[in-house]
Amino acid sequence: MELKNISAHLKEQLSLWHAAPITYQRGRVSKVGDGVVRIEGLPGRLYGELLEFDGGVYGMALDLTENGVGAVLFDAADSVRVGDGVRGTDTVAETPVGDALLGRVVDPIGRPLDGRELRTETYLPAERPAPAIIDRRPVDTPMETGILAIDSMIPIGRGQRELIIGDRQTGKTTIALDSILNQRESGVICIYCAIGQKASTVAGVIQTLTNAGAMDYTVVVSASAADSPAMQYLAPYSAASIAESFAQKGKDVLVVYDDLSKHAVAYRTMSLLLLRPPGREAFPGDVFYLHSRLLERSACLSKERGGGSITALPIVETMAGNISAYIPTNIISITDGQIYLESELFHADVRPAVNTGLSVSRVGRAAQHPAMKDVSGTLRIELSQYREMAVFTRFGNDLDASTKRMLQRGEQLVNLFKQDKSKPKSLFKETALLLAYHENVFDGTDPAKINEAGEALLSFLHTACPEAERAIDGTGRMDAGVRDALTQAMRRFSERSE
Amino acid sequence: MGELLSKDMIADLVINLINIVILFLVTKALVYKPVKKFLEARRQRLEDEAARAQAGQAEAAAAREQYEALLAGAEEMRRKSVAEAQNAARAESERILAGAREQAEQVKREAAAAAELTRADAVQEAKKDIVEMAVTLSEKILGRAVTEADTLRAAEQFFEETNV
Amino acid sequence: MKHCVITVRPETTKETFEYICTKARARFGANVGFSRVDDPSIIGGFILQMEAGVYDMSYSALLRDARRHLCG
Repeated sequence: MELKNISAHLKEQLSLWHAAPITYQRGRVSKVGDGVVRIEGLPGRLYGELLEFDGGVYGMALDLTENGVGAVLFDAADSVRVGDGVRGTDTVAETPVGDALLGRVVDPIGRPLDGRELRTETYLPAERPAPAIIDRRPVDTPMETGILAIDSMIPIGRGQRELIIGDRQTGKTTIALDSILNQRESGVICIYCAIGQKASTVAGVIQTLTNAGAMDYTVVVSASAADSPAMQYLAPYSAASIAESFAQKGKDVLVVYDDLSKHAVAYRTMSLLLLRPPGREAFPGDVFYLHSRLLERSACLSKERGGGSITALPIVETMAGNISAYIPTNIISITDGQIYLESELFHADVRPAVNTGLSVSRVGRAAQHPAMKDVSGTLRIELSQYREMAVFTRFGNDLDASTKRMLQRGEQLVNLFKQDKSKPKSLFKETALLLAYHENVFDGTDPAKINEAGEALLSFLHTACPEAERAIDGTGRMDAGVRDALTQAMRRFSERSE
Repeated sequence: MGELLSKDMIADLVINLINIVILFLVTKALVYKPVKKFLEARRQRLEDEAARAQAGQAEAAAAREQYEALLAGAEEMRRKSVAEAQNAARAESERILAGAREQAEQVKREAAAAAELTRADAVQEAKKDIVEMAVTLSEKILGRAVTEADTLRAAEQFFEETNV
Repeated sequence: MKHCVITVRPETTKETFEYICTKARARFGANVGFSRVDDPSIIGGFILQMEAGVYDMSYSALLRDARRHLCG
C-alpha cells in the first residue's frame, strides 16, 4: 500500500465494517496469588482459552469447574486484583506464524522481543493435534548437524526426535546451535525455543546466530526464567505451531527445545498452584503427556500433508549423570534416540563430550548419506574395542603389535572426533576425514595434532579435488572414481608432509 | 791366418766368451728376471688402475644419471607445486571475490528490504494515526451529540436484531 | 433470581432506563433484578450484563471495534 492510497484503503475497510453488539462472557476474580487466579462465573470456557483481565492482562484457563475457572496469568500478576472483571475471548492461546517470523525473537504469544513491530496475518493455536499415522512417511533424509561424531555414529534424520541429554555445562546447547548453524545451505528452517533460560544466555545464543548469519532462517521463541510459569509452559507448543506452519508448506524444520527439564518444572509449579494432586517427584500425573503430545508433533509428513518435516532436538538436563530420573526416562521413551553427553569426557577435553556407547539413533543409517555410510560402518566397534583395551594399558602390560595398533587407531579416532564449537563440517569434510583415517593418512601424526593435520588435509583437498567436493556435497554419494581421486590426493598429501 | 790368431788370443777369446756367457747368465738371473718381474708388475698395476678408473668413471656416469633423474623429478614436483599453489591462489581469490560479491548483494538486498520495511512502517503508522484521529473526533462529536432517542433506538435495534 | 446490570451514560433518563429493563424482562423472563451503572466513558448506547453474558451496545465499544477493524 502506498501513502497516496491510504484513504481509499480505509474507505474500503470501513465499507466492510458493520456496527453490531459485541457479546462476551464476563467473570469476576475471586482469588489471586502466585500468578494463579480463580474466577467466578465465566461458564462455557474452552480448556486453554485466552482470558482478558481488566487492565489488559492476559491469562489462560487451565482449570474448568462447575463453579468457576482457574487460570494462570501470562504476566503482570501484580496488576490483577480481587473483584476485577475477566472476559473470555473464545479463542485458545494462539501464536502468529508465517515467514514474517524468520529472523525474529518473540515470546510464546507472539509479542516481539527484539524491539521491532511484527506484522503477520496468520495465527495458529499453540496446542494442536499431532499428525495422524496415515499423514506420516518414513524418515529417510539426513539432518546433518555438521558434528562428525554425531553424523557418523548417531545420524539424525529429518522428522526424527533426538534427545540431547547430559549434566549442566556439558555442551548440550552447543550441539543444538551447531546443528542450526549447519543448516545455512540446506534450506532447513530452524526454531530455537528457550524455556526458563537466563536472559543473558538467550542473548548470547541470539548473538551467536546473528554473527554466523543464521538468524535469516531462524526463529527464536523465548520464555526466560523471569517469565511466568504459564509462558514457560506455553513456549514449546508455540514453537511447534510455528514449525507446523512451515512444514505444511513443504519445508523442513528443525526445532530445538532448550530445555524440557525446565518446562516440566514450570508445569509442576503451575499444577501445584492450581491444586492438582502431585505425583512422583511432585509432578502432576500427566507430565508424560505434557511432553509426548509436544514431541509427537514432530514428524515427517506425507506428500498429501505438504511433504515437509519437523525434526526435534529436545534438551534435558540431568543431575549427576542420572539418566534414570523421572523426566529423563519419560523423554527417552518418547524420542527416537539420545545423544548422551558426559561431564568426565568434557573435562578430559573430549568435546563434543558424546558418550558413543550410550548414545543411539533409532532411525540410524537409514538417514545417512551413502558417502558417510561408506566410511562410518566400523567406527562404533573400533571405538568400543579401543575403550576396552585402553583400560588394560593402565596395568602396564606388554602389548602385542596388533593391540598397540588398535590403541593407536582408537586414539586417532578419539582426537579426530574433537571439534571446536560453532565450526560445523560439511559432508565432504566429514567423509574426507574418515576416509583419511581408513587410508591411514594420519599414521605418524601426533594424536594431539591430528585436528591440525586434518585441517591441512582438507585445505589441500579443497584445491586438489574440487570435483570430488562438489560431487559429495551435491549428491551425497562417493562413487569409486571419486574415492580413488581422493585416495590418490591423500597419498600425495602424505608424501609432501614427510 | 795362423799368425793372426795365436794361442793366447784364442785363449783370450775363449775366456772372454766364457765371461760373456757367465755375465749373460748372471745378468739374466740377477738383473733380467727381476727387471722383467718388476716391469710385469708395473704393467699389471697400470692395467688394474686403468680398469679401476674405468669402473669409477662408469659409476660416476651412473650417479650423474641418477642425480639428473632426481633433479628432473624435483623440477617436475616443483612445477606441480607451483601449479597447485597457483590454482589454490586462483581458487582462493575467486572464492573471496565470490564471497565479496555475495556479501554486496546481501547488503543490497537487506538495504532494499529495510527501505521497504521503513516505507511499510511509515504507511502503517500513517494509517494508524488517521484512524486514531477519526475515532477521537467521533468520540468527541458523539459525546456532545448523543440524545435519548439514540439510546432508545440502540435498545430497539439490539432486542430486535439480536437473539439473546 | 437472575441479576442484570445495565450500564448507561449519566444523562440517560429514568424512562429510557425503564424501557431497556422492560425489553430485557421480556427477553430473559420476569424473574430478573436490574441495577443501573452510570459510566460517561461509554459515550452512548448501553451495556447489558446478564449473569456472565455481556452484550455491549455502547458507542465506545463500537468505536474500539471499528478501530481494530481498520488498523488490523
